[in-house]
Amino acid sequence: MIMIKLLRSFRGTVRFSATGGAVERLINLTAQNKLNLWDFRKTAPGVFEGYTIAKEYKSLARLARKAGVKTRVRKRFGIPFIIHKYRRRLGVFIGLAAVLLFILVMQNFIWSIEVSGNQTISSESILATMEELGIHKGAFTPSLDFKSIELAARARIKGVSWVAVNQTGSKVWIEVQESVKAPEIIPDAPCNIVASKAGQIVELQVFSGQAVVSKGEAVDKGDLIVSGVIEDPAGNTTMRRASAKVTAVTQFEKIITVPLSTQQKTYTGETKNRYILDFFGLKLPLYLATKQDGEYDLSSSYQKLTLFGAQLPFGLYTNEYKFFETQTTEYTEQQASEQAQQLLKEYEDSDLKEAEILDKQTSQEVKDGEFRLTVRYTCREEIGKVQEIYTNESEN
Amino acid sequence: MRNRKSEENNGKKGLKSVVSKTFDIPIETFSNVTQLTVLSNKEAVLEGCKGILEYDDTVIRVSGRKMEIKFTGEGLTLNCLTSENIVISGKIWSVEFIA
Repeated sequence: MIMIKLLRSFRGTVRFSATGGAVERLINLTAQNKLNLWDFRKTAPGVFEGYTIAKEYKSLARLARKAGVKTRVRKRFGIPFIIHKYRRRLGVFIGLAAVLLFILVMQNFIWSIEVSGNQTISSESILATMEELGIHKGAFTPSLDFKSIELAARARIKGVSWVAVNQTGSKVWIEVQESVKAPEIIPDAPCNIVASKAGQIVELQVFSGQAVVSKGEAVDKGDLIVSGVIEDPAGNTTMRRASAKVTAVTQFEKIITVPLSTQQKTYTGETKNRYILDFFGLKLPLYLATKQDGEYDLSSSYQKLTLFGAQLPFGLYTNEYKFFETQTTEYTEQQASEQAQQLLKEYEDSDLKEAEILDKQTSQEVKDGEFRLTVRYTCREEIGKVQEIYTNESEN
Repeated sequence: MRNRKSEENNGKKGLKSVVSKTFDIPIETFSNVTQLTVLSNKEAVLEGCKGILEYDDTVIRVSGRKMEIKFTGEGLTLNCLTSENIVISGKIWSVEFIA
């Protein structure tokens, strides 16, 4: 029914009244002459109203005269009448033609580009390569050979195994498949276990290799604990990957300093936005270039403009200026101490997570405008560190 | 003479009826009859009509191929019209077949 209404609207319809004479004859003549007639009904005694196609009304009126029926147009509907109404308004037609022409021309240009499938390679670097190959906002699509661009992009973008460039209207989709790196094979290279810190060994469990030191001995940082070079009674040496659990009691110092005065940003709450129009990649500032007074943080965002879900080749950059004042904050010794304690706790929670703290001696002083907290730790911790044995083979 | 003609007619009817029943084909496909389809009492579609005899919002009389059909009701309207088919809508109270 909608289609019928639409077709009738395109052709133009007329509502007319019919009075007097033989209405039945008019209906029969209309049918015989294959004229369109619908919704023909009695509206008042002796008065009928119905609809017909605008172009057929004249023929219908002629047949009505034959039947002695007087017809009169009541209302006109449809596009032909609208066009007729505005026929003298050239501007409307010129505007419509301009819009149609604009759409026809603009669909040959790239309005937006989207990149998908990339995880480690940034979209910006892909777009930069594509721009070198001719794909950018505002590019004339009929002059682009997407197949050769795909091939060139595969060669130019490092770390991709496959690139597809698809065009849907004025939108270009770049799909990327990143190449999968081969898993790193852990070599079974011979190695020693050395001390990562100075300390006294309290526990030594050797799983592979030959122990050089024993429990109770003190080692310095870098000293060999378990050797991967094994000599048999016959005097032959073999290389192995040494493995051991080496626990030692270590002593070390940690110094934490907190300045007694710092400079801090205090945002005034004043913000200012400046807009830049992006038209096919051309940036047009929508403000007068004046220098901003005061100190500020600048953040920029980009908003794509869409129309009925379709992305337009226009966008809007918003530069937000957040103004602040720099203030110097003075700390008392007590406040600095609290801050240092907090930093110390964070250090212990992260760096000494695996270690067992046996003893902790702290001292504090204020020197050169700084609060200094010195902590001397005695810990029980794992100090064994794998160190590869460089042989002629591995060097080659 | 009259008897001979009626016998021929009866013979034709009989043949059509036999073919229709034997091959399970609807009789209207090869018979020149007027077909009436009524949807509730709101709409009637008449196929194979020869013309309108009377048109009013309470009565519509239509000339069929072998009989006259009279629709009575309220707010009767001619919805669609072609040379052989018509669609009547409104509140249809009765349909009469007048031979």
